[in-house]
Amino acid sequence: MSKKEIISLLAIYLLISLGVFLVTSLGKRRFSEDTLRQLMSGSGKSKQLTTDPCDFSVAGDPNAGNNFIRLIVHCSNGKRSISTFDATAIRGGTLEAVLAEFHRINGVSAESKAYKCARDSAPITLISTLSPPTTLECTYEN
Amino acid sequence: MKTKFFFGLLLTITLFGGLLRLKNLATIPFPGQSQDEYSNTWVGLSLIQIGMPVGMSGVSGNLHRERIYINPDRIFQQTAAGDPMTIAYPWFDHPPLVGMITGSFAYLRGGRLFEDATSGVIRKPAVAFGIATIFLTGIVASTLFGNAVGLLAALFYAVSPLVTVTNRMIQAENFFTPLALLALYCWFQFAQKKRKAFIYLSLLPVIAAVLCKLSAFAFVLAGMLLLYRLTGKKWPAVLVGTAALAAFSWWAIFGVTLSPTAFWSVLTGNSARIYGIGFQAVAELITTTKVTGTKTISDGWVLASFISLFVLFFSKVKNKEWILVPSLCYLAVYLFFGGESYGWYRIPFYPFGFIALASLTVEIFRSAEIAGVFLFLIPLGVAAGKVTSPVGNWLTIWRVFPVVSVVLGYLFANKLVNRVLLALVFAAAIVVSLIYNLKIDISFWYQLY
Repeated sequence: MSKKEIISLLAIYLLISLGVFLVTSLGKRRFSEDTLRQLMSGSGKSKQLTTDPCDFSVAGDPNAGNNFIRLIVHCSNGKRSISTFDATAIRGGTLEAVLAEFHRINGVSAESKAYKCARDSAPITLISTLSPPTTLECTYEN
Repeated sequence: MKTKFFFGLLLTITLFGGLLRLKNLATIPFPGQSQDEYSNTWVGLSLIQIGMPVGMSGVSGNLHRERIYINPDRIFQQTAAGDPMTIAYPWFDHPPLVGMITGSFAYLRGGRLFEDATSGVIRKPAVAFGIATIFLTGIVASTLFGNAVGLLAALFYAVSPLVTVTNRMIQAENFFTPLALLALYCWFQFAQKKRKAFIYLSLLPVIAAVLCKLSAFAFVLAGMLLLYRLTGKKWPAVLVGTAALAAFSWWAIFGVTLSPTAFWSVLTGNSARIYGIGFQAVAELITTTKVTGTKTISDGWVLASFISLFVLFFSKVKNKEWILVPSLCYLAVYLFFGGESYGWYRIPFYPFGFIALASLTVEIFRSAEIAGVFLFLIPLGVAAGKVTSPVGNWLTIWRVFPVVSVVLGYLFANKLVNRVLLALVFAAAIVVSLIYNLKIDISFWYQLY
């Protein structure tokens, strides 16, 4: 290899390095927590949405030990949906937050107010704080 | 073989292999069986939109980690076990090129959110690289061993059911394998023609391969060894190695610009991963046909290809080192880095194995050695076991054919008779493998578990 070739290659390397640095630095400025949350939790355009909370459930049980929240929803059409969530993935820790996550994950558009829920047979409200492990029994009436 | 005829056939095989890969693209393997497919795409989608790589990570050291349920393809109604994903940023588990390719593709198709990254869309770039691998396998094999070997190698890569299914997955190995083949072709041309242009041309796939995944360094090492040994010059090997290091340094600049602490701690976290591949890794590599970490799909072509690789290693075929050295370098890296025994880690072996099988096939036909029947019975038998039940006329043929082959083959020792017998079993293996490929749909996939 000639000296000229080595210098050319070195110049190309430095130019690309500078390019990577500039593009990354400028790109980094666009970062926003809100946009990231929108990317992660937004509903996909091809996702089939439903108004019936009993159409879908989160299948399987998370490997969360006792740190889970189980939601059993009974619908007026006789159907039932059972979902178990890892409590670390539920932001908020209230019944309303659990229902909002349940709706988001499953693509359900329904009013949280239309649920009547109980924990250990005792009725709870949307703002009730939940401490895992817990199992919630809800009936949905639209 | 005329060049036009060769390219016509090679393109036909490539097209055919492409159609097999596109069939059931969105459904097999089941979406979510490897959630890495989504994660790789999310890295690209997030980089494009917020300038930050965001993806799933099992590596400690990430600055920000969050557990969240993301439900593309409704995987939480199907394959996901119920655990939320662990999302981390900035994500430095691997260099970001694969994510940029699949993420850009998803973005151009209108995807903006992580849930928009559905299998039907994001797997298409992986298939495109799989199709390129068929073609390049044919080109490399024909350059090294002649056109007949090239066509057969491409055919084997196109119809192997394991490869057909695995090629649909967004795993870095599907992306850097054709790049490694392209670089290998350039290095061979340089060794033959001594034209510098080929070395410079090889730097692009080398850099791209390293930016897909660091295990592509296996092929950099192979290239350096081959170039040094076969050209007797140091500078081509040094240039190739320097290009790979340059690619690594660009990734480091990218990482350090985003977060030096996170980049360093993920790098060190990666090196501390559990060595789950185990001591049985070489035996498992040859005897099991994994798609993911635990799911397997029977395929005799892969076993036949590994047998052929060993045959090639100890043969006196010209140019064999161009297959031997890359295979062994990748094996060494596979054993060194082997975190877990995932099926996709094996993808880079397949083109080399099939080139070896094609070379052996040509030799079998040339010598009209009837023992070759038994090599083709491996893929034929495995595929036949999946497309028909072991009763009736097919079973009778299966039982009688080997006896007839051995008796006729050694009683008359007639080359024409032997070649007819070999051609029969070879053609049967290809046809039955095609039927097997077409049978791999949702109901078939369910029966595997």
